[in-house]
Amino acid sequence: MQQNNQLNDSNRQAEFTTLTICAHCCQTNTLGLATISSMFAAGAHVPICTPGRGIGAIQGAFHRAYNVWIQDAANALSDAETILNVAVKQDHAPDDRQSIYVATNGTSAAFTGKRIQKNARHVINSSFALAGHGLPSNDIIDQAQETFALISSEGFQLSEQLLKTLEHVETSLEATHTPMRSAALFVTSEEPYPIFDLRVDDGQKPVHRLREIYDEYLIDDLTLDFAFATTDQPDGKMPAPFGEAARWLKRTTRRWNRRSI
Amino acid sequence: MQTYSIIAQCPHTKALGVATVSDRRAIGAFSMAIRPEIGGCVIQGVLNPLYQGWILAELARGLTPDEAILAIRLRDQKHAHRQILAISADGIATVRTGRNAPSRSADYIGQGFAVAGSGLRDIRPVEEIVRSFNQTIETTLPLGNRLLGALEMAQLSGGGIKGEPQSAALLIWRTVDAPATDLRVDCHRDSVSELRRLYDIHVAFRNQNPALFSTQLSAGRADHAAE
Repeated sequence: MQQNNQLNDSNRQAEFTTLTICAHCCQTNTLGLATISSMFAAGAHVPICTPGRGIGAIQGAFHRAYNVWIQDAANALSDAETILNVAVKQDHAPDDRQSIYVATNGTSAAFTGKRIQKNARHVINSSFALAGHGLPSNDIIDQAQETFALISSEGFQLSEQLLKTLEHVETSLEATHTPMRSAALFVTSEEPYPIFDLRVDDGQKPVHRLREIYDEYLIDDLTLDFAFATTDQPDGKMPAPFGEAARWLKRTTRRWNRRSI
Repeated sequence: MQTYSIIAQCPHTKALGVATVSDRRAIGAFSMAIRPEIGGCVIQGVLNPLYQGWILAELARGLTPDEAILAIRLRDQKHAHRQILAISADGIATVRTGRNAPSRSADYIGQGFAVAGSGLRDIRPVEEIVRSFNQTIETTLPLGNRLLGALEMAQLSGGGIKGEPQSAALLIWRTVDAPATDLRVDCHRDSVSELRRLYDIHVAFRNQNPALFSTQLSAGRADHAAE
């Protein structure tokens, strides 16, 4: 009997805290995801991206097949709830997971399994969905929702909206002494590659570090990455020299990023 | 942009792996891709992130890595600026360095692996990766260890990438439903050492939390024993 208990314990999920927000910006038709977790390298497992169709996330116990199921469903269907249901129905243990999906047609869906840890909750809206589990209180989700809605109305880019929301969540979790370990920001449009795909896999203040990388990455983007091709223009453009215009953009971008909400 | 990469297959587990280091931030986000049971690729030199999808699609059609790269040249007028590494699911690796790729580029094709560097201060990192990876070819070390060991030797070679910004990434994938080893250092002063630290944590984390990483075939059991 004792041995059985030990076996059960070894299969029990470790208690992690994860909060993810998925969103769609209808003005720019970009999709984005931001996640913060007490788990190591959550950014490697959470995002589920279907460029041009929608964006989703899986947390709790991860399941690689969700990527395949949701991508297949998104190729045939458009409603977020129907797409997510297709994945959940194929899952052998959906109650161990929490999943969300936001489609470009303005629908969103979320599912929280019954065996997910304490204070697990999700919120869905027409343009975004939020899910969290293992949180010190459900207020964190409500605050994150309010923050995202507030920032959305201020005209920031989607990447900035997501990052600012995550910064707010990190501050709230710090106040409750909930240590976090990893964070990720993922933004995509209709191209098969992301606009932003930035991760901090292991760090004490992961969102703070993610912000630093994001700011620096913008400078790279302005000065080096004119080489990126698009589906319409597969040859891309060649790298531009580092000129005064790029320096000006760099300065203004950094100032713009550091504006507080 | 200085970048060097290795793409390889583990002869024991048949897992495919890529490791890369660059003086650009977040190199792992744009330069590399693996599709288990299909193949993998890395693009460097002048980046074109559409290449990953193109090459994997050609490999999925049954083309060899060489044929896949040749097929893609027809779509890309600027192919001469790029350096491409590709590997098929059966471990045939290749690399092609365009004639207009950044100066001091080098490449090497080995048994089950390919190495390439572009824009380097000198080609010693590429030579060190080849030497180090060949030294472990008869061992049963996990692929992640071997790839990282090769990058570490390259960084110590004197021609390695120094200072900020630099980034590194490691991606290993064995089967479709097994969890991948997907680690990224998007900006760090010593990205390869940081990647090694993450890898060691990753191995311990997977062992401590098997229930977190389900596979379709075996619920609640992590398929992490062999990369």
